[in-house]
Amino acid sequence: MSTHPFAYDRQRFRDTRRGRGQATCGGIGGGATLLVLALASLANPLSAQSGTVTGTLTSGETGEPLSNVQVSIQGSGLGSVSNNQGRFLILEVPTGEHELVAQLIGFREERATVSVSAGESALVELSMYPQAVELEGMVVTGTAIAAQKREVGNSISLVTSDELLYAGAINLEDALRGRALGVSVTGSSGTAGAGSDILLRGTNSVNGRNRPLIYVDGVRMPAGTFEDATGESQEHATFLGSIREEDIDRIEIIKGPAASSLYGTDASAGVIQIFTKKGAPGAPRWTMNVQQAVQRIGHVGPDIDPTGLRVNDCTRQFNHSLEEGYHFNRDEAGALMSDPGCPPSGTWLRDAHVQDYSMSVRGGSQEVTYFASGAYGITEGVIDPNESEDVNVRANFTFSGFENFQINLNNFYTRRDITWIPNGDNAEGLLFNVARGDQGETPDNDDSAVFDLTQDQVINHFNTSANIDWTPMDNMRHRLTFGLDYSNSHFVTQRPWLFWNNPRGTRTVDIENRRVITLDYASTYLHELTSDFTSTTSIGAQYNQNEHLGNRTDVEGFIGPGAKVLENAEDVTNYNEDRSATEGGGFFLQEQIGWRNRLFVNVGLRADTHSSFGREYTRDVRFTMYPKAQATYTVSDHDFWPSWWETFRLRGAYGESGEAPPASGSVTVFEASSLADENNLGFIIQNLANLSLGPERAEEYEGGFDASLFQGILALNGTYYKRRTFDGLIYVAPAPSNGVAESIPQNVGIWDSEGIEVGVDFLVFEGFTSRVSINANYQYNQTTMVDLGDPQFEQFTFNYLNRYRPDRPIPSLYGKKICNGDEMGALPTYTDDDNCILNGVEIQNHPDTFFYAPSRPPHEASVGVRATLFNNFILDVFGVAQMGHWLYDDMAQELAADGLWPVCWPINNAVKAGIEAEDPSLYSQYTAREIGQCWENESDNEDWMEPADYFRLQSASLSYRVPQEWLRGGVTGATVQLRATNLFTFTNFSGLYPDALIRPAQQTARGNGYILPPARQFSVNLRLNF
Amino acid sequence: MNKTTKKGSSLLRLLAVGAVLATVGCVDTQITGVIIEDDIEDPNLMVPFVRGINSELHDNMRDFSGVWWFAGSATDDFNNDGTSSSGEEILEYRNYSDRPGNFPWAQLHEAAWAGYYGVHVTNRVFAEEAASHPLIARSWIISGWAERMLGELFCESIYNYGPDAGALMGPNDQYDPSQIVQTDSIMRRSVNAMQNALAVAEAAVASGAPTPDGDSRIFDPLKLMYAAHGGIAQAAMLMGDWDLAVQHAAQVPDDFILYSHADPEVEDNGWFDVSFQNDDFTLWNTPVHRVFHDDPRVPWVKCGEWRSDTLRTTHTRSARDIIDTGRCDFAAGYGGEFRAESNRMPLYSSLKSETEGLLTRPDGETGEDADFPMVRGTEMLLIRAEKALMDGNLSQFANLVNQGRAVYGMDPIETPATAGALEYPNALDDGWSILDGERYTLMHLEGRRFADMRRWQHPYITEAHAINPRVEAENGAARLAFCMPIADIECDANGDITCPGVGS
Repeated sequence: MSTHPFAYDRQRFRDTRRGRGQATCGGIGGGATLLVLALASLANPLSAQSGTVTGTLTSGETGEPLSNVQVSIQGSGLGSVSNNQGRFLILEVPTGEHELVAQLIGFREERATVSVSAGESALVELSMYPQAVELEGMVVTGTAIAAQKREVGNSISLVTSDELLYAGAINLEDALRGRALGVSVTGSSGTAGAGSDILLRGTNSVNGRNRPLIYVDGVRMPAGTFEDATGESQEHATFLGSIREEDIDRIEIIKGPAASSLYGTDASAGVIQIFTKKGAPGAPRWTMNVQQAVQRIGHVGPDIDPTGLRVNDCTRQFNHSLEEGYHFNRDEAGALMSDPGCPPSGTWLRDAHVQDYSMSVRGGSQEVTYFASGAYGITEGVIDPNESEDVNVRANFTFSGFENFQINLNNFYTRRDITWIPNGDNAEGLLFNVARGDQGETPDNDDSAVFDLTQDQVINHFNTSANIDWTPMDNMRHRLTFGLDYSNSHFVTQRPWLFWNNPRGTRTVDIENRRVITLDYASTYLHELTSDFTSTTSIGAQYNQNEHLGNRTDVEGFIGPGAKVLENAEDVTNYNEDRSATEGGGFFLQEQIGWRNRLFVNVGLRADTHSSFGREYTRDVRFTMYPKAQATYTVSDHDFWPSWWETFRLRGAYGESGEAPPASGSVTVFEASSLADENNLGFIIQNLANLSLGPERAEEYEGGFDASLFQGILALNGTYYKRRTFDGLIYVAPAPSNGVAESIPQNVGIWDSEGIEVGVDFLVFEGFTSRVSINANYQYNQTTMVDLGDPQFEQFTFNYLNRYRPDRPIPSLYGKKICNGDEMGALPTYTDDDNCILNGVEIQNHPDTFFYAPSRPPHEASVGVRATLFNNFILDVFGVAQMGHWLYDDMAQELAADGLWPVCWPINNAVKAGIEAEDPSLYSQYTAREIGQCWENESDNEDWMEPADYFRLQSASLSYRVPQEWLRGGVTGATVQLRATNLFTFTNFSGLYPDALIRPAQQTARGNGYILPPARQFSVNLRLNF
Repeated sequence: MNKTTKKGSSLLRLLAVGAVLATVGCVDTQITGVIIEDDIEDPNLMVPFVRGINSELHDNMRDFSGVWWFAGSATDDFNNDGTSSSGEEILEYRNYSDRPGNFPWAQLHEAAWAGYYGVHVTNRVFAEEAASHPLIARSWIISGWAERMLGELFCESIYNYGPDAGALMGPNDQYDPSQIVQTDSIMRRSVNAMQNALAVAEAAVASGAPTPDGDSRIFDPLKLMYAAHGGIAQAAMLMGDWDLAVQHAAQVPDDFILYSHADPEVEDNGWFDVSFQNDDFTLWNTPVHRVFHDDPRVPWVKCGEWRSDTLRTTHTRSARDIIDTGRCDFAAGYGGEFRAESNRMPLYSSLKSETEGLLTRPDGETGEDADFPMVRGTEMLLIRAEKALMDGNLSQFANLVNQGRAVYGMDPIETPATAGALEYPNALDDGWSILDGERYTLMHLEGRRFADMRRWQHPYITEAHAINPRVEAENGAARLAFCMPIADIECDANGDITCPGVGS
């Protein structure tokens, strides 16, 4: 139960003043220290009546040693803290039986009986397990500096390093899929180097970034994707792809304005904060990881096609005729015909090799601790030559040798070399051409020619931060963070001389540099109002700068073969230089009143300004204000609360935050013009400023609970939220009578969001050194357009039939409707025809498009089972599901329209024969909907919108911790893990894969087609500690 | 307690530091490579600034969908068979099924706005010199021409800025977007702008103000003064104030001409492109072909000939029906590939852009270099001639017409026996017919014919050619309508006006 309201807080501050470590038994050369202490105990006369207790504390889930565990002998006042190798030592323990208690925030308290003999050392080995609901742990994100979870009124999702260890993810975005409530990860692909998109609580913005703020150790980094100017691969590398899961200590996620008010502008889409691993006092502890894996893609396309659209098997040409049914094409000699250009292996796919090697070390003294890591990996894509080669280096230092200061320095550098392949809905792409067979674009249908187009991207990403903690008094703490994130992408797309689609050859060099500077100060002052009431006053000020330097050059016309550079070309066809920078900043004031460490009420206000705000954005004197109010009440701390229901906390939060407008929206910009006054340059208005332009603002209410019952056997948490985005940024084309008709961003949109998040942890079994638990998450997120601005914005239209319309979820699919879908043997009619009767109502040439369904999944769920068996085996199985949305299947539609979609062949052939013979009986066994989908040249986009629900067995792993007694040669821990990723997907979606999206980072339009499904990955991992 | 107070003071100090750190003025947006509004308050930038303003107007002459194209397609300036997408647009507004004209509507509003904005900025930058600075006169003139062209093409406009809406406002000031006005008001705005221009130009001449940038073609104060006189005359005539029109027309020398100068390096000349590149625009069967084929003001070339007279009546122009005369240089890239694609060719194309002389650039450049006359002394003579005709003074009419023809070295006409009336086709047998022909040939392909036909209720306007009957019905007249309706782009974006269907 709870402690005195001040007890924890003051301890928290004192920890900082002294540095993280207390009286540990470690330090540099911790083993030697133990020895000295042991010898000292022998020299002590009292030792004849006492002994020592020593041992190791490990995570029951991962087997990793746990540092900073408080270990004590019950009722004796004796205790110690474990070092970075999980070891502890308690001296001068009186002889006899004692109860040893181990406590670590975030973990369930463990107890063990220990028998101490005079002059001897008793050995204890304890495994600790995470607590299902724990309220004492500290969280940082969304708070002034840090706060106990019990003080925070908003929901916050945590992903720990343990979870990442078992996620078996292809990348960090994938690791978050289903692991954290409120997080939606969309876009899955078998392309090496490609990332996915992350949304928190569904759609947040129409024209804004729609992506959460990303912080790494307190420093902002860009969200989203690096640019790919030519877009030939139609997939992107993401900034998050620069961070290795192995370096992450934990990820904190706050999901909306109710929690993100203190971040102000840019935070309405939530905040993801990544904390990387830090050092701990003790001898150097090395960890080495080696991973070897193979990636493989299963059957591509409809099951009925044994060649997998000729991608899996290009040695045969699958076909259909009414006479022969499905068959393989044969030449005049009767031999099977293969696809021109088919690789010698007979398939366009390969078993791709994934190799990853990493080494990390953590340790240090009471004054300085460190964590350093280095990694090298090569991930081959399933289509040669797709590949991503990654190098990561990290060095984190903590300096605690000052009286009241602690300084953290965190740094990483990542280099990624990615070789992409042309793909997607692209006439030069591989799937586009292979699936089309002899109707492709490649010369003589030799689809290997697509690889003549090369795309090479080099990414350099550097991030550094310094956190200074100053605790001048027990009840006052200051924190200053300064950091820099710098990234560079060098993307070259080249069509060589005599390239089939442009014989002159082309080259595009797209260089993109981004720099983000963060300066963040916060201070907290704790004050005891009465014995029951506390006051915590916090203030803070932040500044950030985003700079973008882009340079793209397109050239054309090479003479001769070989590698080229820009100056080898005859013509410069396009060049573009983009240099822009924005700044933002603000400050906040927050007051929290606590009552008996049970009830906390928190109000705050952030004042924010941003260089993108208009000059006449006078509301709040060019500052915008974001208020917040929260309350949380741990009811279970009362004595009347039943003991079987050990934890129950209610929480509620209200808050506002915003999204910065585009940089050029508030500035009248002129551009050079040569169109008048011959041979004399002039300049004309490019866009007119909206001087009143302000941030897109959102307010959010949320309420929820956290509960733990039956001694942690069952843990529940639930949250309901409701959010309204107002002053939504819409690009409005003003009436020309205003003088300038170019669209300018205006704060006129309104949309509402609503959702539920529910998490359940159930401890199924515990005993006999084994433990089985189930975790399940469900979330519902839906955003509905209320107002797009008056009057011209009745809707927005994007690619792949996505539109934004009032009173409908956004984005949603719209199109004409088929009128007689279930009618057998009838040709389809549509609402834009002149003879449509839909549901009994006659419709003549209806010009409008109809709502089909949201194209983002409103329902998402995940379920995981983790079993620790006999202490040494850990089985982890995890599945995710997305439901309730539809997608437009661009690939199936296009191929059906060209008579190339295998499922459609019997229908198409029958209809064509029936039409030609004027005999409808030839296709009487098919419905009008089937005919609409499959009738060559008549297949419409709307015919291929369909539900995209799926469940995926995302990962399964079996880990084996090698028993300590088997370890040799300084190895202190060893784990072997067999892991499988993306094993099975259950779906009725007829496209390639329901989550393989065209341009997954494209926020406004979701479409499916020509993107490789995610690969199955089978890996063997070996992790050694020494 | 004291301790708490002290800490409270510390907190306030920290708060102040935070406030300063993030306060207004500390943040800035940098977009390198563009000129932002704050940068242009510089006298050295005013010349390119005013040159840029003209490019907004210039677009309407050079662009494929500019005023000249809409006016020319709707009239007998050239034949547009509607087989291209742009042609469809013309057919649509003849069928009253759509509201075309987005480009000229938007571009003319922008040009007028840019001119007023130019006055606004140059007045501020030049301060005491403003009253006599040629650049300010030039800005006024651009606004005036834009207003005039707007009124020539559209019967209605939306007054959302500018002098008639009160004091000249800045670019971001709010105006009443619900005020719909008719042609007369639009022309009054044009006259207003030109009168302002005239005052400044006259002051510049009187004070001996230097020609900005040494560009005497455009910024010579004397030329600006003549242009302002001409601009007043052009607009005053269209608003029916003939006394004002004649008064100012008389101030312009006969051989005066001011161009909007094209840059062949960076722009496409719509005249040139349309004449030579597209198969569906032609001078065939226009007055140029039928009546004025020897008039030097409307030069043309025969690109193809019908293989037989039988084919001629079909109006089809497939390659098998036509003999290529080899005079249109299709192989140069223009027209050649289009003809290969569509197997068609224009039968007659205008050479107005390729003939040296007063109608083209003074330096004699041809082809895509063609400049666009904005005001001429010879046009002023025709304004005065029209007034004489209205007054029944036929000899003065003939004298003024001949004064203009002499500029082009053409034979004089005889004084017509009667004022007569317009007819179509034109028999050139009376005063009005002669005037019709003179204005047609003088300003052929310059977008001026449309307004003439409307104000004259020209016999060319039949049911097949009428446009936007709604406006005429409202006026209660039995005349056939000949107005472009308010463009879709305005109807869609301006919530303060109602745009009924153009056919209703």
